[in-house]
Amino acid sequence: MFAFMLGRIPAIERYLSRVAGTTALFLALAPPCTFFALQYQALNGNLEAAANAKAAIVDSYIGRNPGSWQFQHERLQELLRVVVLPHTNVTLLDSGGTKITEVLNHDSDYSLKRTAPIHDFGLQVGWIEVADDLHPLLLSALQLLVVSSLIALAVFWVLRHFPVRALREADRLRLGELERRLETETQLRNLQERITLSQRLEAVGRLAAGVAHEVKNPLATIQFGIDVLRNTHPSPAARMQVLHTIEEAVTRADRITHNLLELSSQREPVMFVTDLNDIARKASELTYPAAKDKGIDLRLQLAAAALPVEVDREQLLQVLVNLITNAIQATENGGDVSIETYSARLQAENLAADVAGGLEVGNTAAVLVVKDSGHGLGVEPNGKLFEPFYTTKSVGEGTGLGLSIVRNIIALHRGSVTLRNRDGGGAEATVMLNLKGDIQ
Amino acid sequence: MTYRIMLVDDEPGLTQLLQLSLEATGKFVVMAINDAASAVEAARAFLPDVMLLDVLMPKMLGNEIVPLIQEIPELKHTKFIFLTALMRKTETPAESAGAPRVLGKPVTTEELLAAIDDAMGNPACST
Repeated sequence: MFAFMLGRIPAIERYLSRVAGTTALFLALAPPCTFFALQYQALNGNLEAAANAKAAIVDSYIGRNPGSWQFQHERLQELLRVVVLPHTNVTLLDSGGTKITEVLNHDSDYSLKRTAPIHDFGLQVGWIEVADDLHPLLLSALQLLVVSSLIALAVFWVLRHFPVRALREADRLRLGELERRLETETQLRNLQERITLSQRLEAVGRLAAGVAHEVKNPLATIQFGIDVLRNTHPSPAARMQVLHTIEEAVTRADRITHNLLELSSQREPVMFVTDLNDIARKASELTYPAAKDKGIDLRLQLAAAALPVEVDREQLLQVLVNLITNAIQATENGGDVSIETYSARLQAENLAADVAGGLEVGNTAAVLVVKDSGHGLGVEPNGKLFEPFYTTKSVGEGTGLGLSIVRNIIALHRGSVTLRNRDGGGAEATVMLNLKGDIQ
Repeated sequence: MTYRIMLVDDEPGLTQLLQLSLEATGKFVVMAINDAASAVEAARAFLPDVMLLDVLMPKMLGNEIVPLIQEIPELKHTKFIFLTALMRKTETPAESAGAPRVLGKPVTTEELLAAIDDAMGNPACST
């Protein structure tokens, strides 16, 4: 409920302090001031009435003793003592302000004075001054001020302390919650970084092991070739054979490093809209000699209509050549390899799990399928086949990098590539790319 | 006395050259096998004293071949030497009695001959 206040505690504290301070000040001052004012007003009225009453008595006495009244001090004092308020001084002054006589009941310097004129035959001949001591009233007001100040102090503390304490507690809880959430998020991020680093190290380790295996085998062949040439005395023909084997090992190591560089320095594709059928035809031309050597029937079954796709022609050609070469190498002599293209509405189960953007279920895609009648993919999970240096081929047939390159290129094209075993034996590789334009 | 050596490695060039090297010493009869799956049956017929095995091969790993060979009564005295590219020379494991020797590729013919001598417990067969 007070969530909007959280985080602004200092400002709220200042506001509450002002409100509590004002309230306390009012509570401290209002009762004694009101008390003093009311009492002062009442006293003032009483003194005025007393002064007028004394003046009437003295007026009456002057009327009976004209000319000599001011010298009869004792008589005047008796008159002044009639109906005298307690703690009240009464003074009789002549018209010049000179004291004639007085009745003293206190000696306070702080007094409230009221006067009334006295007359002799209608002429003012002096004053009656009544003065009351203000000390009792001031003392009562002061006592009231002390009590009201204590009450005000308590009210100030209650008004300021409790709301601020409640807000601080709420703020502390909120900060605690924020800290806990931040800590959790930090821990999760650290964990994710560790996992990513671990996966990266694992991938690097796998790659390093693959490189080591694929390079050290040719190196071992070269070493044994050198040993043969050094330790034995081969005939010229045998010598040539040894040198040829060494040369093949060098070529193999060179091919591995070349493919590795190809994999690691994959350039960004330069996209043009091209007919997928044209690239399929070109790929079949390039791989035809290898198929012919094994007596494999390489068949093209292309869509009747053009399949416009936006691709890097060279990169996609490399993808198709790799897939067709794999199919030829996996197929026994005299087998079949076919290349099919068509357009199809995309379904979730047909897409690769790691397909990135580009293809969406329900859209129409250009599809290319390479089928073979070979030994199939084995029972390995689909993803492993795309890992660098994973190969089921014999030495010299492949480096285990071809499918990694295929996957990388298709990912750059935001397409999908999947591999699966065919029901009747053999395997098929399916590439799906976004169809550009409407060819329905 | 000549020893019978069987090479099992999917690298035809390597086995061909190694066979030449070993046979040139005049102390070994050598058979080279490039298909790991056929190694057991070939060994049953050839009866090797020592098998030089690659580890990472298609269809069957080198270390999967060893227990199959050891089950064959005629081959219970056959010694094994692994020749692998998956290991650095410096991390070759300490050898204990009866355990297969492991050599990291690339290896010289001399190092291989020394390992065969060691496996057979017969320094005399070294060149």
